[in-house]
Amino acid sequence: MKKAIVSLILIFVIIFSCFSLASCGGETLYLFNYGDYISPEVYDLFYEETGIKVVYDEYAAPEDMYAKFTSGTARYDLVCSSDYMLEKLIKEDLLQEINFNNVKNICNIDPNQLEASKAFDSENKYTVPHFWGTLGILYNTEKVDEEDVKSWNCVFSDKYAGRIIMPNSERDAMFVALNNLGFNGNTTSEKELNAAANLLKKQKKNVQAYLLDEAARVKLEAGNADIAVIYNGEAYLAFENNDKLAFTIPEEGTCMWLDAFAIPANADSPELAEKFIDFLCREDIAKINFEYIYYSTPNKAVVDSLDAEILEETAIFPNENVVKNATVLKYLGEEAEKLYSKLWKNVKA
Amino acid sequence: MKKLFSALRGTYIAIIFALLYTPVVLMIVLSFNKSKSAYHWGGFSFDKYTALFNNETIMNALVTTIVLGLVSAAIATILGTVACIGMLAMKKKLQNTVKTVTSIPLLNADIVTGISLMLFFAGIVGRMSNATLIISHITLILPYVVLNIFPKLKQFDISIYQAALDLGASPVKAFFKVILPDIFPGVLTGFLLALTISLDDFTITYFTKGQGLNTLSTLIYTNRIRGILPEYYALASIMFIAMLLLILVILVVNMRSASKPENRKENDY
Amino acid sequence: MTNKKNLWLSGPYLIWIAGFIILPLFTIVYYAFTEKRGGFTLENIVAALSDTANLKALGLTLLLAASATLIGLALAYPLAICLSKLKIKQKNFIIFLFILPMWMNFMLQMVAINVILEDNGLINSVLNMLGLKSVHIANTYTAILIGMVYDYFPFMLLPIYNTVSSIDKDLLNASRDLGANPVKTFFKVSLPLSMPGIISGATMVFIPAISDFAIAEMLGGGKIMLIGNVVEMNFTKGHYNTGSGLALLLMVFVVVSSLLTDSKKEDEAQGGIVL
Repeated sequence: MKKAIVSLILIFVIIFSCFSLASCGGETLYLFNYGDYISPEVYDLFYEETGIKVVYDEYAAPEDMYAKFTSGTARYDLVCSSDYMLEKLIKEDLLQEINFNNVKNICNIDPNQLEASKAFDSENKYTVPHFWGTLGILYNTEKVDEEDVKSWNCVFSDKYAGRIIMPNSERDAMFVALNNLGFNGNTTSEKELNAAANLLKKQKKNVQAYLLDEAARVKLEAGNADIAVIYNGEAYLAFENNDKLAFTIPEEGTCMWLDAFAIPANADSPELAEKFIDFLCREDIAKINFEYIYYSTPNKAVVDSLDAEILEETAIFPNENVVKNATVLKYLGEEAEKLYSKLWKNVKA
Repeated sequence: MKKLFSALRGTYIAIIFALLYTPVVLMIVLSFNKSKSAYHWGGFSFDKYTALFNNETIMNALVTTIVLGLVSAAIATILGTVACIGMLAMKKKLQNTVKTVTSIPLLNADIVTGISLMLFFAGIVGRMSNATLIISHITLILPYVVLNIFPKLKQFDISIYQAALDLGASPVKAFFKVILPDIFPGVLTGFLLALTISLDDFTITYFTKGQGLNTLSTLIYTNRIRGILPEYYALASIMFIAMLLLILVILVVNMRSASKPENRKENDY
Repeated sequence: MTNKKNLWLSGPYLIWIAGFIILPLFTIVYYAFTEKRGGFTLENIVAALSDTANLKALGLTLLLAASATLIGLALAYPLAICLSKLKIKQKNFIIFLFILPMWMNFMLQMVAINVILEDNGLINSVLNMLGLKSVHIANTYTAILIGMVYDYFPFMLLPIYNTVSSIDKDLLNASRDLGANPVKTFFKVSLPLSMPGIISGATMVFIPAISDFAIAEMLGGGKIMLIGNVVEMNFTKGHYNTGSGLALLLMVFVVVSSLLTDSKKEDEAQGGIVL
């Protein structure tokens, strides 16, 4: 009988160890990123060159990332997130400084972009830009009047009821409402935020779905919706798949975002993360990524190598005027953040 | 009149059958559609299958799903079979209590089971890992194993086992030579059922998986923000055929055991 | 074999269920009654019950789950009767065919249903072909309801079929011989006798339906929040205590609904889980 116990225990030990070994042979980098934000080809190339395997999880909204990141149930070596969320992480001491001696290719990054990212990383110590862009409107030219999309009003009127896609991200959706009411996108005034939330609530009956990025784009490409509030980067791919689609940025102005990589303070292997960041900044790699999703790249080396035709595509590289007038979303502090998630929950429930 | 009723019944069966199979058939048909869009027929092709087999992320998730299912079903079956033998020796009351506790994951809401395990592991080991995932799956599927094996074991004629012991067999040998062959259909059904439950699970996996790991269900869920990938059509078709075969095995095993006269009274299908 | 010598064999199993079923449930209870720093509080429960967004989600969930249960019942009960009257040899195989779609992988089912319901999807293509006006179902309550009914249909069908097909034909004949018309026979004999199956089928649909969040997320376009989504959101946003309060509430609903239907449950549930 003792034999039976021993063999049982043995079976357990063997199976458990097998399984945990199977997934981690060699060096592994754990990355937490937005969905589909790096070309799969890049991971393969990185593995070929360095022998480091990149294992990644994807998330949709920055708030989801924050919760998982801080829960302690998962640990990552590298995260990619957006301006205001990075600001929050830096303020809460959750990131570590990047050793730029290991990131020589940082020289490829446009100094203007580094300057812009000082808005959340005041000394450029914690982050390396990945992509940037603005919020705008993707619409079906056959179904939507061009005059209408010159203003955010079009998503709040009843004219396109049931054909509207709004972003499933609290800051972006609220920005559109705040802007439409004439308030600042970074306001923390409870009155203004309440008004914006009420506007979204009223709008909800006309909204077909709250979706982000690719999901929103696919809806329009297939003709299941006519008008979507979406990041500019999605527009170019949308044109390729459906020539009836057009993209514009409403005249009232928009918000600008900047996504960047950062290394968590509790990362197991920051050196691997630095190696990967360096790799991503290399011209050929950055170009692969750019051609994978066509978001505006901060990599100057890549930009310089592009054809004029692509550089003139305002859906990828917004006009200087738009950029100058765009609001950069800031971290608003814990109180406002709580209010935000309460209001957002109310909108969706 | 009778014929009319019979025809009506047949029609109703056919309608429900058609409704249930519309999604399945649609996925299979569209899996051979050349056009990327779901809504236009662009000619016959295997493109989506090629894309599926070349999609490393999905293939990894598929392998993870299968390995996870096999490993946890195997462990659960061993653990459950041994436990059933022990449970037979319990007093009726204790036996019932154990059975009730066993069926908690079966009756409870998946989200509660998943969250409870996640909080528990978070408190004990902090990080989620492959181990927490396997343990959670085993916990989820154990009731299916135990509730399948236990009735079979209860029917087993103890005198045969006693005779084996009297003839000098060790208890372990007697188990393998006498009991196991008899309850084997129950064990196999339990194993296969546990496997299908594990393969199909989303909620438990979602809450207890470690970083960087995805099963098919969690991968598709994460990818929902990307719309419907062409690979899914091929995947659905393959999964359906695979499940069809797997469940056919369960069914054949069940029928065989049911056709044995001594098992007929407890035909749990 | 029933000798006490074998009792220890259940040891590892007992440890397992104590460690991985009972303890985790207590962990939820612990979190539900504590604040972030660990002190005792009732606030999580109070907050869960007093937040109007939660109550709205809960009401909507109960409504959808109950509708899904009723629709499932209305579809499955006649089907069970029809199937039980089939006079063919491989009846088991037919039943099995009705359960099979369930195993395609839950997420892929949702994907398929989406393809059908989209504004440009199968339903509307057919309607357009017939020259009818298209309907908008995607991302509505109806879509979620369809998803629920479809996904849980086998759970409803199996237990009902098991009881319906085991009704003694002699009882029905006796009722007829005693002068009852078919309608009366149905209400006085068949229906009461199939009640255990109905109840167990209803529980097996209702319980997963009130706690589900994936169906709403996959078919609701992020627009519709059920109580399961609220719980899930609390956990993905890191509010473990509030989330646990809600999860505990959900558990109470589950326990109550299964207690209400406990009596003959076990045998039926077993019939239901076998396939």
